[in-house]
Amino acid sequence: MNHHRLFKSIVFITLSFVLFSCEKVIDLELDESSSRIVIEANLLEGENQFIVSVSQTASYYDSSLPMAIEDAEVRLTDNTNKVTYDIPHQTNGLYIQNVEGLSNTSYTLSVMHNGNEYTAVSYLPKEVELSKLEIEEDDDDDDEGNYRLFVRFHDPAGERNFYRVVYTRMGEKVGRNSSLNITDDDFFDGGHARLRFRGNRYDLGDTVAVDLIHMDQASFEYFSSLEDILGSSFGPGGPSAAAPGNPTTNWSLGAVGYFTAGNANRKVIIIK
Amino acid sequence: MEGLNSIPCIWVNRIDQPLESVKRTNKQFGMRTFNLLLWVVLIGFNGYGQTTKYTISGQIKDASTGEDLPFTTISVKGSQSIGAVSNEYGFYSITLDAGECTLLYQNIGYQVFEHNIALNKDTVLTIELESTSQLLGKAVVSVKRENRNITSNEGSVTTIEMKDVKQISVFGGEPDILKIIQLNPGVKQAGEGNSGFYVRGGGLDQNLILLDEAPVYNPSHLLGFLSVFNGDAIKGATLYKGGIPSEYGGRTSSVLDIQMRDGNKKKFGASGGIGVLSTRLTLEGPIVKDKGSFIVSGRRTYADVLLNAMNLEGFENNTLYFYDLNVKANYRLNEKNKVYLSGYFGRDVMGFGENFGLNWGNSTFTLRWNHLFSKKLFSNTSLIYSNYDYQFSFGTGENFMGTTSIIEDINLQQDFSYYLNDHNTLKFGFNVISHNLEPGNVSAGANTGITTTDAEPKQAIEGALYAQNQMKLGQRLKLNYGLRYSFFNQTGPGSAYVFDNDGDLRDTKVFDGTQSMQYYGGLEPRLSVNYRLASNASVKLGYNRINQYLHLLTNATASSPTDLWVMSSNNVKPQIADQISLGYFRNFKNNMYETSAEVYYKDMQNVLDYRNGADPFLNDLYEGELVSGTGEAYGLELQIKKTKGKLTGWVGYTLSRTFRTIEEINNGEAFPARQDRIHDISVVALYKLTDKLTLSGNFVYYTGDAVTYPTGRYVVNNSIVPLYSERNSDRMPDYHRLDLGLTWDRKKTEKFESSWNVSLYNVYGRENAFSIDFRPTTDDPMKTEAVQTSLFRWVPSITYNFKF
Repeated sequence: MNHHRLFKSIVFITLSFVLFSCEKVIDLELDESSSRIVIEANLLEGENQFIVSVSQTASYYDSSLPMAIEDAEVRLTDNTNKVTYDIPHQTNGLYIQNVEGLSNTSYTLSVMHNGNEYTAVSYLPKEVELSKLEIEEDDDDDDEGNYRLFVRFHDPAGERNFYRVVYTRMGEKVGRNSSLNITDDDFFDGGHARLRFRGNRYDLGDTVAVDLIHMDQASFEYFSSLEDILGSSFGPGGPSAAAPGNPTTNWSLGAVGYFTAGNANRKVIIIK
Repeated sequence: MEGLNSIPCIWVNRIDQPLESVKRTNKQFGMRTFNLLLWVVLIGFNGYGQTTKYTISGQIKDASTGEDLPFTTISVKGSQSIGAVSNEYGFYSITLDAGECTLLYQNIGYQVFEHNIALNKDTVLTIELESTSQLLGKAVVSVKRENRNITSNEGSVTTIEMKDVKQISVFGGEPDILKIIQLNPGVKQAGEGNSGFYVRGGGLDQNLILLDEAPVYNPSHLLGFLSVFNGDAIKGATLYKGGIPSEYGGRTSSVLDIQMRDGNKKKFGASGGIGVLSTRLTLEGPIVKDKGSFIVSGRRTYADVLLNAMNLEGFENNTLYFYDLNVKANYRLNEKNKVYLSGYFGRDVMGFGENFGLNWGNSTFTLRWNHLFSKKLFSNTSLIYSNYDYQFSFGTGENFMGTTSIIEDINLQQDFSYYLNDHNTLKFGFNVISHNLEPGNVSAGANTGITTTDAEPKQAIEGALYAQNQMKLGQRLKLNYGLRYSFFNQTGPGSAYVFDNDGDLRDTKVFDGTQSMQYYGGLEPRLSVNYRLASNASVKLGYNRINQYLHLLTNATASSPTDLWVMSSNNVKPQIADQISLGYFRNFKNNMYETSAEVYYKDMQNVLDYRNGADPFLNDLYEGELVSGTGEAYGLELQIKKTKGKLTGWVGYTLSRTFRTIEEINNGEAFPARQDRIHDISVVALYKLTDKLTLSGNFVYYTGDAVTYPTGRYVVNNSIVPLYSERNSDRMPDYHRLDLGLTWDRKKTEKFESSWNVSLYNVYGRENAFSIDFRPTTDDPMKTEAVQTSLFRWVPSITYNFKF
């Protein structure tokens, strides 16, 4: 529920407009002395290809691709059943191996590089069924599609649950990257949730696959803080960014990125 | 000794002797301190029974309007050590030896009034002072400006004169008291055009802003571009930056005490103004002549009318306006009793079609009763109500989602002033505030999928007990020492959350009824000392400790109406600040130039900040999103003020630093607070071209805010993410701006006066950075650039003011 930021943007944009603001690109020198390791990994329930991406941060104005780290040792441990998987390097900083993710299980991912061992822990929770997708016609917005989707599911009672929703249209992930479609259950604990996320609009005839991913709090906090940072269009000097910082990661030793284990439940719908 | 009757300071000399003898005997330090304390306490009660003394007391008023004149100095001609100051209701009391003497009544902007009296009984003397502005165009009478900045006890105090507020154009031609305050050393504006301010390195929420004693939680209109204080309804204001007297408490950085006008007691009148931003109208007059009066002052802006008239695409059906209304009435029941009723109601409304709406407002209400128990004991009892709320909404009908947030105070306050004798004025009293906080009441339509849950309301009782003595010791030394005990008791019903080190919830304790959930309390010593080196020079020392129990969580440059006020609780400890300040004050050329140099050091405990990536909005568990630590601030403030002649104004310079240390941020190392602006210069000048034409100008310069810029970037989830290292290790570009204004007073008659004001904000069109924003370029999303947003290059305005 990030209306706070949204509303600030609206007020700010409007006011700036009303009060004749102006924008210009400036040449600003930045201190870019320190570089850090970036590790990104998603583990899903069931038999899946588990991909770990390891790279290095780059200069801020640099537009080149991320600098891959190809000589790391990557290992996944199932903390509940004490099983270990070595994830070998395939290409370009990607470490890939088939892994079967188990519900109600805690996993540790460790990356050894340059004598440092970076570790992150994530808990793979039980499945929450996506009970229904509802189509609603809505032609308010001229730019995008005229249909939007409501995701309905029943939230387990008496515990805090965290979700992320991923939309895929005909094999292509949709929605702006800055909106990660995450939510906690503060507004509907134990009840029937009916949610719609901004920016996900479709046209007649579209085939859309929707994944409801149940994840742990650490993952939610990462995505939530990432969303804040990406969505804060005003940058560090702006009114919405108070405490610019790196997203709250579960990685140790100052590594950035995240490791999240999630339990996905999918439904597919044709817009008609 | 009897021969010294006309300058009754005999007993002070008498006291000096025992003190000397104590020193001579060279006893243990403890014993000496004890003796000294004993003498200090007894000092007031000592001079009695030697000579016959009588009390002169009464009211001081403005001759033309009959309004009470607070802070008027009453002194005895030929004596440096005797004097009194009228209180905020214009009441004074001074006790002198019997005999003949000449009393001098002096107030800024008024002619000095001399009164000869043969004192042989207690006397009630009501004085009316003529305003110096009444003398314009007439024969120039020599008007002596008092050297109050030297003689008063108050270091680190700025008195704001409404005449400055009316003549110095800052933004949009609106007379705005907060904008003038921001031009003083040690006070920094929160951001371009903003009403919020920082005092001596403190936060936005550490300023106690009082309007007729009622706290104003959000002083901003139009998101801060104008303050809520309508210049037409304000009598004056005093800002305490340090050495804060013990009668005030609850905010650690400063006290801004604003008084509303009482209304003309002699005749009915109307005044007002029409400007580009707003229209103002004030009506005032006697209820019963010389007994009571009223004032009603209203203001409304019309940005939305202009906006809709421009017919801009995408901006139809928008609302954007504010209004406010000040009302006040007072009535003197008899010589001993007077009642005041004052209120403020203001609201900002913004709406963007049916999609989004936001409105917020303050209401304050003060009922006061002045009672004279005797010639020497003055009492004021106030019942104060203060409310701040905001609402915002998205969509309509079934898609509606809205939130309301409220903070409400009911305060009972009792203050006594006891004019013990000509060397001691005691003040003591207490207050009890009931705080009620509703952080977020949610209402939502069926289509939104939100089950309505309100954030849990919170309640607390805050109170204080204080006593202080304003004392003169001999010819040169003045002291104001006091002690305040303040407490805060958070009460049920409610939940107290227990968090672990990462801010995750571990336990919840539920309290019911009026059970105490958390109690805090503490002693707050206060001291200010003035040692006069000469009639035109003094040294002042101030110390204060203040506890603060309510905190504003803001994560923005611009103060937003939705910033969250939170209470102290089991997780949020009270903020505590200790400040010591030392100043040297010197006037030149018969008080034409006032100069001052002050240094201060402030130590802060339990300052709050957000954890990285916190989202406290509509979150009952927001306390887990907070981290706390310590802070320190220090600085040097220099000011030269010219008070007479065709050219008046001041130049101020502040050199200061302010840091925070929070374990969870920056690896626990100290980092500069956002408002750590190292250099700050402000120049204000008023030049009287002719009797009718006044040119005003002000210039400000300050070091850019401390901010955090990215130090690199990486890709996660197919998005470019900035990498940050140390908190606030970078700087915004320096800020500077010049404003000019011209006021033309039209021909004044007995019945009607009017003036035109033309002003230009940001004369040389400097593009000051409001924000610097890092984002992908439009043509290559993998490339990032820095974009600077500036508001206002040149804001011209024209205002017509009238009075009849």
